[in-house]
Amino acid sequence: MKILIIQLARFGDIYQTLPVIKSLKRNHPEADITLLVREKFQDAAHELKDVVTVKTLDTKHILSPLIFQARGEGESLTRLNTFVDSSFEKYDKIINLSFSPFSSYLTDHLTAENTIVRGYSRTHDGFLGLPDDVSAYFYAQVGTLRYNRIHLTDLFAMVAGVDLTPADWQWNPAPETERAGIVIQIGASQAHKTLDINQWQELIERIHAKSVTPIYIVGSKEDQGLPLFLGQLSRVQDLRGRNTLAETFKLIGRSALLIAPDSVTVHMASVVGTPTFNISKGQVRFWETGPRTLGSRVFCYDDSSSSAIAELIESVEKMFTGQPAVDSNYVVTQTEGVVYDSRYNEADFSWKLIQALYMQGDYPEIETHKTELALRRITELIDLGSEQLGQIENPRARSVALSILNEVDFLMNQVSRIDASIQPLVNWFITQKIRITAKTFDEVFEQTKSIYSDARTILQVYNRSISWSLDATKEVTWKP
Amino acid sequence: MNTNEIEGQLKKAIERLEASAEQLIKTSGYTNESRRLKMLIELIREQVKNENSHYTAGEIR
Repeated sequence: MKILIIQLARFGDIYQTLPVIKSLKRNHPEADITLLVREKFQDAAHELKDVVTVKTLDTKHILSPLIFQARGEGESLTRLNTFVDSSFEKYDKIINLSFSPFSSYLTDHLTAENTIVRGYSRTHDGFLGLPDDVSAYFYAQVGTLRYNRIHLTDLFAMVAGVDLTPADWQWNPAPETERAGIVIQIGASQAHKTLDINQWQELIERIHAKSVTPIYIVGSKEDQGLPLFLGQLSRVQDLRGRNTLAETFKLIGRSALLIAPDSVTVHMASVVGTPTFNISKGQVRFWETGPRTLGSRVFCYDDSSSSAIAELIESVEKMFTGQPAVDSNYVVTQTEGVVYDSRYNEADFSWKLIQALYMQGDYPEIETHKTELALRRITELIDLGSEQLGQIENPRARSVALSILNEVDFLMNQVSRIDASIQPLVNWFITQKIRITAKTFDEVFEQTKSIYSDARTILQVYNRSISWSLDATKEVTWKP
Repeated sequence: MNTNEIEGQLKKAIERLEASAEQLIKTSGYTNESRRLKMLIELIREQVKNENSHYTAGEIR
């Protein structure tokens, strides 16, 4: 069996794919697995040399004619054609874990008659193809400003159609008993996701004062430019810009604790079982990309006020001195799915709505007038759309009905401006429409009717409890 | 060539390729040829989106 895994995201995503590859190997020991990664990020595949065939996409080579030659797109197209025609074989299964438009066209291009496809592809007429439910879920609910709480690695596994066992997370050759030292990564994938350098200085000094263990500062060559004053801290080794990814991976595997913002080291720690203190700043979705080792903790904050930093330092100290987490920390308590728990009880209407839509959970109660108004508008749009579907079979009314249906799709997207918390429902509806793959008008019509019918069923749950007489518009005006 | 010039060049290339792809799809439908053009367009688009970022694939997911 030949399997192609397409992973064209960054270093961290490649590490997060490792457990899925191990599971695929466990489930299909005879399988010949090829992993496609970007040339720039191939170093993250250092643990895979004997497990899979690693192929690389060299974007720089393909696009350089476009940049350095006038009208170089012909040459770039030739280079792309050479890459797609000469790099691949015929695969029994293609698992696209990239979720990008480019990867969807590549997947479509490499799909043969009997190839099983998981992840984004294209339909027969070139539209985005979401062949499996998990990919549709990903398209609708995963990413920045979304509300998904299922960890990315579990989503990767679901797209690949495999279960993950504890053994799939064991990529660490070092014995657990020999763990020692604290690794600190100060840089993040983007500068706004990490502390400023003075805050790191303070944190490192506090850790040094309160511990007796070696402390390793790791990071890229670019991170070397961030000035730290470590001369007085005898147990601190500054390894920024000195270690390869593979060396950092081994170091984290031998360490007792990693302290890091959203960065590749968090994903390394997850696959070598190192407890992690993850500093999650701003809009980072730690639910999706945070640490996985049991007992790891996540500290979330939006501002860099002195009180937030004091709480951060207290939280870190509690972790490396083995004390229970402070209430605001999220702690890894589960090994799959939603892995985090917190004593801090935040409002989670949108996540409950996702659970109701996809996981047979109960529909959450409406908590605000804004939510009520938004659901009312969605109900009106679904009623309007359903009415127009009733006109489709009338040839004289068809054209107008189709125009109105297109407007309904547009307006549906605008409704979440009233209340962002209902976004999962809007995204679900839009995604279901994208998934229509029928070839004839009648088939498209029937599938559309079915989606509207499902939407009406969902909204009935709320229509029973909403008192439409409530004048919520006094508080919120609808400005699409 | 500075970053803005590169970005401008890539955007112009996207426009030209989009026009070609659209024309192809209009006359022949979604074919192997138009799919290859679309692939190239999306590969460039990923770069434009991240042109001012240290990370070339920052927003691709």
